[in-house]
Parts: sequence; C-alpha cells; structure tokens
Amino acid sequence: MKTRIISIVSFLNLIFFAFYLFAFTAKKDETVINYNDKVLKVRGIVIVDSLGIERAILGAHIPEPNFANGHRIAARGKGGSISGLMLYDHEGQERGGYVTDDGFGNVFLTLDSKTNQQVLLIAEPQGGAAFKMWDRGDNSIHLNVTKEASNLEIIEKGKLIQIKSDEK
Amino acid sequence: MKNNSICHNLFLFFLLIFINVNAQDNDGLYLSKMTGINSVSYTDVYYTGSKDTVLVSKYDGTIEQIVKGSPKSKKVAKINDEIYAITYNFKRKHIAASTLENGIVIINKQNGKVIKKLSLIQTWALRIDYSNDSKFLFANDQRGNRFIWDVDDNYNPIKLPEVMPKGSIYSIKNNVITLITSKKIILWNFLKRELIKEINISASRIADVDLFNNYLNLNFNSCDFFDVAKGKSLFSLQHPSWIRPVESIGGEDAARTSGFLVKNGFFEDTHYQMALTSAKFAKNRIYTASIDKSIRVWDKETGTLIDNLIGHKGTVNKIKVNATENQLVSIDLLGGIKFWNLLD
Repeated sequence: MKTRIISIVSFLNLIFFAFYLFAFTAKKDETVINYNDKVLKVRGIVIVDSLGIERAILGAHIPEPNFANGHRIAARGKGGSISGLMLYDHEGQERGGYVTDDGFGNVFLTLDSKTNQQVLLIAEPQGGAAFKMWDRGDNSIHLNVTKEASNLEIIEKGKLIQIKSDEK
Repeated sequence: MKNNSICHNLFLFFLLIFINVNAQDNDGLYLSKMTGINSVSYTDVYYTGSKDTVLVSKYDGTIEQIVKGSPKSKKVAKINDEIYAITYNFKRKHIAASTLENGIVIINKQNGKVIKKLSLIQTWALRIDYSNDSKFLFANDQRGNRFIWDVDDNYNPIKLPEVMPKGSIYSIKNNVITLITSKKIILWNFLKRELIKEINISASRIADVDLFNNYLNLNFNSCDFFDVAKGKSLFSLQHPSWIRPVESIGGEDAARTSGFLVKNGFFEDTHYQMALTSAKFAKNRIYTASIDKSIRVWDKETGTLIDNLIGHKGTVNKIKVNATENQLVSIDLLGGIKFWNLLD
C-alpha cells in the first residue's frame, strides 16, 4: 500500500514538474523551414501593416468594403460574391482589386479613389471586354468590344465627343 | 515492481516534456474569417457627459470611454462583432451598438455585459439613436427597413403602422418622429399617428438638421446649407484646400519652392477640394469634416470660412457636438480623437 502511495505521489510530482519546466520553454524556432515542395491550400491570406491594418486580401470571398465614414457598406451582398486580390489603403479603405464575380462570371480589375470607382477593366464570360475610366460623372472614356461592334466613347463635361470613324 | 513503476513514471515524464516542447503554437496565425478591417480606426463617438467624456467604438467590437486630457481610455465592453454606430441611454445607462452580424446589441455600461440583441431584417444599421426621453430606440438598415423598440418594455419591437410616412427615421423627440427622404422632411406624431408638417427638400445625404429644420446636405466635396424658411439653399461649402504638414513635401523650403503658402508647419494646397464625411450645426457656426484630415469652421449666416481645425493624422470620419454646443469631438480612421472647445 505504501509503495502504491509513493508511486502515485511521485507520478503526480513528475506531472507538476513537467508543467513547471514547460513554463520555461520559450519556443524560439530560428530554423528556416523549406516549403519549396509544398502547396499551400487556404481560403484566404491577409496582409497587415505595422499598425495591424489589413492592406491586401487574397481570398474567396472578399469581404464587403469599408468607407471613409467608418462603416461597412452592403455593396456586394452580405456574403460577398467576388474572389481574388483586393488592395486597401493605409486607412483600411478598399482601393481596388483583381477579382472574379460569382454572379455574372466576369473577371475584372478595378482602381478606386477614396470615394468612387475610377477605373474598370473587365472581360465578360461570353467573350466581350470593356475598359472604362471616369471622374465623378462629367468626364469619362469608355472602350469596349463585343461580337457586334467595337466602340470608343469619350465624354467631356457631360458631352459626347465625336470620334472620326474609318480614319485612313 | 518498484523498478517498473519508476520506469513507467520516467517514461511519462519524458513523454510530457516531448509533447510540450514540440507543441505547435498557432495562436493568432489563423483567422476565423476575412474581414478587411482597419483595427485602429474609431467607427463612432457619442457624448456621455455634458462635455469632455465620450464613448467610442471600433471595428473590432471594442467600446471605450475617453475623457479629455486623460492619457488612457477605459475599456467599457468588447463584443465579438464589428460596431459601426453607438448611442447611449442616459436614464438606463445602456449602450446600443449597431453591429454587422448581431443587429443592435444592448450593453450595460456599468459592467459591459450584453443585455439583449435586437435583430434586423436585412443588412445592418448605420443610424441608430434613442428618443430624447430615452423611451424608444430606433434604427434604419441599409435596405430602407425601419425599427422602433420600446425600451421600457424590455426592448420589444413596436409594429410600425402602415400610415406612417416613408423615409428614414432621423430622430424621435417628444413623440414626434422626424422622417427624411430625398424630397421631404416629415414631422409625424407617433402617438396620435398624424402628420404635423411636410417640408419639401432636395437632398442626397443629410448630415444635420437644426431646431428650425434647416439642414446640411453632403454631396461629395460640397455641403449645402438649406434654409427652410427661405425655401432655398443659401450657400454651398467646400474645403478650399488640402492643408498638409510641410514634412509631407520635404520641408518648409520645398513647400515654398513649390509655390505654397507655409504657416505653422503646414502648407495649403489649393488644387484639392477633398470629399466631406460629416457636417454639424453648433450655435451660429457650421463645422465640416473631410478626408483631407481637417475640420473647417463656417459662419452660419454668411457661409464665410472662419477657422481651420487641423491636427488629425487620418480621415476625420465623424464629428459630434455636445448638448450645450460648446464642444465638438472628432475621430479619425487612424485612431485619433480630438476635443475642440467652441467659441461663440
């Protein structure tokens, strides 16, 4: 009986001692692990700056954008419907991305100011493509190609500028 | 037998050491979801005292109390959700927080515990507030749904009558609801269910309404002051410049060489009139905040620029004026907060 008690006490002692030792185990792993032959399979990667502000997200799906007033806007549907790479400025505002959308099947590149989208380059699933850049409404350039036609539209101060066609 | 026991214990001992040393610490490496948030930014601010004391909220679900002049903030509550707007019930000492996933969360300010969660139909609310008698809480979500809860009846939702006019709820004062659409300001008696007044307007985003229902309308980088009695917009305000520290251009000499006027370590770049984020009335002044990191002070009668309030390092996203209109608090997207004493 005495041996059994000593055995139990020594066993418990070893457990407590192990935990005591664990308190000193600083996990400084300074070895460089080589992942050259590994494939990373994840839902998303988030890049943060020194303040912890998220500056780039590579993921599916991308979250809804935050705006200058300090709130998130329901711009893409609550679940989010676009995937790809999204860039954020030093204040966390969405400023552009290179993404695909689930709804139409478009792939597009966007560049945004702090208040609006300013540049859009898009390829549609059926074969068309468009490039559009604009200020806040009065000036824009729109270039698009479809199966039916190719178009260049320049609007300056709200007025369509005529482009000479069939120029030799 | 004894040797067996010792061997057994030694084996367990080394096994524990092995497990402990090789345990992988992945804390903080994996996220439960992608958020795309700025974790340092304040999202809203609300006065809880007559002046100098406010509550602030953050995207990470933190609510803090900040006192002017105090170097440290006091954490009041932390919820596991993003917070976009907060308001405070002075009688019950309840904080209402508008969140991404949990609707409106009611928090006891005394102990930071969640009392109740009020669900919304769709999306989330960007404007919430209590009525001036603290009896009702209202919210508007982004799809145009409107909600009023009875605070005294354990926040039970009040079914809004069909005769209630359309529009976002702006305020509830003495049982009169102020509703706003892009074309009208409507005053509607909530208890009697009758229309008091309709004012025709033309607005895109109303930032503030004064006692006489004059309002400030924000349209990108301009703020229009609409005088209801005169039935027209009196003037439109634009920040005339982007005021930046001289370090951002390489010092005072570089700023002067580029043709800029230098004053107190800042230079004014008049090529930029940046977007406005917030505007407020206070006594005989109008205050406008912008992504240009400044607040401008304007004369309410003439629209003349009186002063520039500078010092924020990020976009000034919200400004609030205290009840006695002698102090303004401003927050920014880089976690800055400033109290400004207002002069008549």
